[in-house]
Amino acid sequence: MKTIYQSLCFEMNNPVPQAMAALSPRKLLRSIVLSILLGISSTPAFADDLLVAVASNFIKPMQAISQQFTESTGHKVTLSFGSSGKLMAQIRHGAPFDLFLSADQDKVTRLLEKELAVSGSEFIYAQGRLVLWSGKQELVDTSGDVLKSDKFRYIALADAKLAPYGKAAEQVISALGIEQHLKPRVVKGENISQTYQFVRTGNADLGFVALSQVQHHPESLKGSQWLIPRDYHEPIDQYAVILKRAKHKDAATEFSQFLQRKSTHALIRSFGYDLPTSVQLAESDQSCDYAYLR
Amino acid sequence: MSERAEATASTEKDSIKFHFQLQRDEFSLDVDGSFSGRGVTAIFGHSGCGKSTLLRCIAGLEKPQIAFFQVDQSVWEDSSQSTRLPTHQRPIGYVFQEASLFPHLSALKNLQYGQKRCGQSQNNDQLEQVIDLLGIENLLHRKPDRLSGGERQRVSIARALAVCPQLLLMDEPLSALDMKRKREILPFLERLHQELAIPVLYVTHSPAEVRRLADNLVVMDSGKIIASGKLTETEQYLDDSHLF
Amino acid sequence: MLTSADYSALWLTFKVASLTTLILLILGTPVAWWLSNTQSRWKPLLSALIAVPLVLPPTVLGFYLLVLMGPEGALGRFTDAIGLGTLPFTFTGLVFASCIYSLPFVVQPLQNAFEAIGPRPLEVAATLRASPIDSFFSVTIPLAKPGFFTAGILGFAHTVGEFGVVLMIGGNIPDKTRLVSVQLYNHVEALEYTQAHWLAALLLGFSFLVLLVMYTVIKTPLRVQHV
Repeated sequence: MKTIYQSLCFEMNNPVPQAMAALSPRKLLRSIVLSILLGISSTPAFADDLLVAVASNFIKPMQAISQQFTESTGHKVTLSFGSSGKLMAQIRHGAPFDLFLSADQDKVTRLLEKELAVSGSEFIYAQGRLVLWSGKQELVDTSGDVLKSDKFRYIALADAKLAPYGKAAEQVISALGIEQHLKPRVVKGENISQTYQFVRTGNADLGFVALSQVQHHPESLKGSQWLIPRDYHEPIDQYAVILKRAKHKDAATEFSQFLQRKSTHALIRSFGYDLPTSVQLAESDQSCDYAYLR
Repeated sequence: MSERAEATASTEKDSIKFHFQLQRDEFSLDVDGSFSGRGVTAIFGHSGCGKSTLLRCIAGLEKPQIAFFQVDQSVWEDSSQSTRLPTHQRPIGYVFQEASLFPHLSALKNLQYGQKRCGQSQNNDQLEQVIDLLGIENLLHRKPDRLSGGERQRVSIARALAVCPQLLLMDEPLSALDMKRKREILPFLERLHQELAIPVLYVTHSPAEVRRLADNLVVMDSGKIIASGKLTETEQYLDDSHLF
Repeated sequence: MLTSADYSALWLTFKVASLTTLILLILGTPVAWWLSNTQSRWKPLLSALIAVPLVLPPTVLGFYLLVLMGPEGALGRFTDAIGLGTLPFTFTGLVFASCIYSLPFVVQPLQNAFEAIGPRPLEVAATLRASPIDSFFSVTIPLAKPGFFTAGILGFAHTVGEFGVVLMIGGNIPDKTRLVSVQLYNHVEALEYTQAHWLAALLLGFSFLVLLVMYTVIKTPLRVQHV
């Protein structure tokens, strides 16, 4: 199954075929059909096949979660990764997903407005944490003073129009009142993984990236980082919603509930995500999750 | 055999001396001899005997393993001394089997192409003479694709002469033409024969052309020269049926 | 309709594509010439290297260029050492990457054109006292003119359509590296479909016009399959 995920991921992460897929869903459908056909042979006949569209930034946790879900329920889960914008375009044009895990709230709201999603089924499955990160040791300090300095040539952030992490980064920048200082130094990734690559390859000296990325690549920790305090920007809420076209609404509901379970939340946190206090229930203090940072 | 060996032996008067050895996959050329420095020498043999290759060696278009070529006192190529004039520095005129005019240039521009490059650009008399000799006045402003096959070949002969060569090499200039075109061109070639002072090496497999045009004859077979001398002395080879 | 950012992206794209085409015609000519004449055992290697951008997904190519041109990459160290700094996020870097990306589209038509000429016209030129360099300019280039035309137009059009590479190494800086394809992509991603449609129509019209001109003028089928 993993190889199918990978082949799908590959297709999803390659913008050119992807752009074509956005225009004609045939290619996407073909890969989906292929993965379903391949998947069927190894699953019990009574189990449902869930088709879930997931924002790319959530690839790693989602693979772990869906594996646990399959183990505990028998339902098979096929994941389709892509940017939220592309996935939404596909959903609007009839892609047969059961569940959509967006990287933001906006796409989910739009789907609800267009009555393509089941109203009331939306929920926050994770919150992103923003990190100012550099591959260089001691460049980034714990209060972000480096941003006001001349110690860097380029700073990378995701495009605010396209990526929620980019929007949050711009809020941080305006909260610090350094828009003019940064303007000539800003380079923008079209998504958060490209932004990470800019910094990772050293082409940008530092950048606003996702905590989950820094945490996912252990060598990233060799650099320096500042975990942006939550109150510097609006929460990066990642919303999930059940789609109206879902063929397996029961299984989709089951998966929604599974995503909101305490144990799943712990798993999500371990990948560098946050969860809003309202859905934290009675869980233990989360600060220990980031102990390694400072 | 002794008769042939005798005929191959070079005579004192021959001023063009050559020796080439060229080895290729399926073919080898091994020739050693001389040509007369006057008149038309036909190089005769059936196709594949190496006569065109010999001409290309003389022009410097091939690189034989062993090569020696001398005209009068000047050595153009001597592999034992590692001397070799590149083709564009050899004072030759070369007429290819197909006319090979430059398609992007008019007939006149084709003529002037070589003329300009051999320091003859001021010499319009020479060019006019050549144009006159081949009767191509009316064709000068046409592009090659507007010329007939015979006209093209006449322009290409004129082009080879416009560089004032010391040696004219002609590689089956008529073989690509039909009988009518051949008859159209042969009179011009005869005029060349009469009016040109330079030696001409004329490759052909046609006994008729040899009889009509040649003074001397070199007969080749399987990459070797099997006879050479005055046409009157060697004419019997033209009827040797296995040669063509 | 179109915003000033769109126009700026269009103008920038035109600059990058023109410069790239010019550079590739100049550099690609000797390379194509060598390839069409050589029997060297390195020929397949060089041909394969040049063709790599045809098969490599552009984002992958862009990623490796990002690494190569970055401060830790070989090329990045070199450009830094000679005082150019590193190339990503710059106009120069974009032109450089475009040159690599569009290289096969220029070299292959040229190589085909040179091969189609064959050795004979050059032999003729040599017997007419033209040195090899002389005959290259006076015979080869005029005879290969349709090949140059095809190469120029394909190189230009392919650079205009370049996307994955620009996305990876451009950094989306207005007036500097934000090309029209990226601008279009951003419109789509930001769900600004009306603007996206306008830009897409413009690009489509442009590509159609280019191909129409090419087919009208040269009237010969393209020898490069990948358009």
